[in-house]
Amino acid sequence: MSKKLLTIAIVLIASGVTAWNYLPLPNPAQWTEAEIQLIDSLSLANLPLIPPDPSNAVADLEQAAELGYRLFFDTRLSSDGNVACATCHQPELMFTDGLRLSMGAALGTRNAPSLVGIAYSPWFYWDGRKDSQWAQALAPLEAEIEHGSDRVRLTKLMQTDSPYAALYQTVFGSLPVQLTLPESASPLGNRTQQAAWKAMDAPTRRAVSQVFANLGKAIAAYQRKLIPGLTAFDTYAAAVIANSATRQPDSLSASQVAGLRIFIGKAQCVSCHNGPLFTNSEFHNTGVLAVPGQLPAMGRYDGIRLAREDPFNCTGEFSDATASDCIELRFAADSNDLVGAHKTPTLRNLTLTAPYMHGGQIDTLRQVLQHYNDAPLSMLSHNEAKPLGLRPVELRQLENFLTSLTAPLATAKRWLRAPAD
Amino acid sequence: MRFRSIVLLAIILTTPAGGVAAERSSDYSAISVGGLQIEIFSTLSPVAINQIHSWQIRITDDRKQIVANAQVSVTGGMPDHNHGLPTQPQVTSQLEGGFYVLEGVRFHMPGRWQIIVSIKLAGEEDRAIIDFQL
Repeated sequence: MSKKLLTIAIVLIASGVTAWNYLPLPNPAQWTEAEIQLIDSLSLANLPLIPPDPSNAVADLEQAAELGYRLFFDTRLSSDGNVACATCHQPELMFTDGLRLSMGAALGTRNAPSLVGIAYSPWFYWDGRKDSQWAQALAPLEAEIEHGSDRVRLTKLMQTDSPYAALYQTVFGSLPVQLTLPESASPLGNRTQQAAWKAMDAPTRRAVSQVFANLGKAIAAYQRKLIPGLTAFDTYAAAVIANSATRQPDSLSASQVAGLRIFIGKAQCVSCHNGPLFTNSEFHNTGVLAVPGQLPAMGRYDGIRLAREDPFNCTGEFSDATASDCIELRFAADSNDLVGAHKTPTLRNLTLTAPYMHGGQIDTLRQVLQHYNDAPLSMLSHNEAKPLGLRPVELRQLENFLTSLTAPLATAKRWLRAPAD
Repeated sequence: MRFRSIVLLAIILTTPAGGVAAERSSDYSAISVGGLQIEIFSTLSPVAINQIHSWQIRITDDRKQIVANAQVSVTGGMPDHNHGLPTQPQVTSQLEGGFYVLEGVRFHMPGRWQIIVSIKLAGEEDRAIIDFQL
């Protein structure tokens, strides 16, 4: 008899545990006023106009975007002729590459972030070491493991390729053509390139760096066109805002709606993934393990220092801004809080942007959610996130909700494929 | 112990309105430990996340007299998340009427924020804590 009771008890407990882990609770009939406000705040309908970039006078010129578009897809910008911006930022993958670490001229050290909507961010790179989109666009061109080219070679390309020369002159006025240039030179290159750079006179160096900066400004003008499109979530949000009391919108499944509630509630994902782009464009340490084979990254702590030293920053000689425009750089925090902190990525289109995190450390969305549910200790400084205590069914609901954030871009299709000629 | 009680009082007195001498009501206000009235007028009103903006801080004493020429600085953060502000706001100028211009203010997360306004005047140090929800 007691054996029978014991068996029944075990079966009951096991059933209870299984139910707790895997059975969803019914969704409440209505959202609260506070929840509706949060849903509204995430809706793409509330995305403001693209912010101006005072450091880039051609940021919103159509001809500059045209030049930038051509540069973006052009492998001639690399030393071996094989690497373009689009190698690691592929339109069909929301301008990522599907790799843990990007592969340019050699294996990189970071995961390629999506470029969609990134013009809204005041900071660029995972550690925010650049303060404008155009300054960011310059760095890979001269990085040995990415394009591996240099500003002299790129200036020469502009001079010798007549379609480029014509477009460049349309956007920026004159293109310096009387310069006597070595084959290859850069202040950031290898020893030979640096020696060649030092041998150039100061006006020539400045003229070359100006052409180089202008190429970045054109690429940025193109990238400003990469804007996310309306998703199933946005359709749902619009219906909730329009008629929250009487109608249950059906653009999200019950499981996705439950996931949305967790996103803005229990899991507090919305703390950092906030606003219409699901990012605050700020820097947080969330205890992500170091990239295998690398020391734990200092993140924004180093990033802000690099941004301040960057000759192409907002206050530098190649910027079109006045000093009073550079408020982000001027008032940026640099405290110890920022050790190991990396930029919050957008969650829009994230089903197409795996693997995740700054070094592609996490392969799947499910594993990302498990990471936040566990909130492990950080290798450097402290993990800002706390364990979430979500049940497996809640993690699945959250994951289902996140799949509702993918949609074709609002950008005209002609910008999303390589130029035909 | 007394200091703690006064700080607590300053927090309790923090309200989302209550400007007395300006054309519009303040966005936040508090009474400092030393009894000064601190009023915040934000250029972004209501204050919202993810937008860098500036504040004007007005300081008056218990007789409603303007407190000018003080050294004013601001720190803060989210006590529940154990981190500071995403920017380092600084007082960059003083305007007539007892307004101190604080530039470079940004909040990047919804939730409870705490701003500490430190005031140095004639060798005396005072401070007020402003507690608010975004």
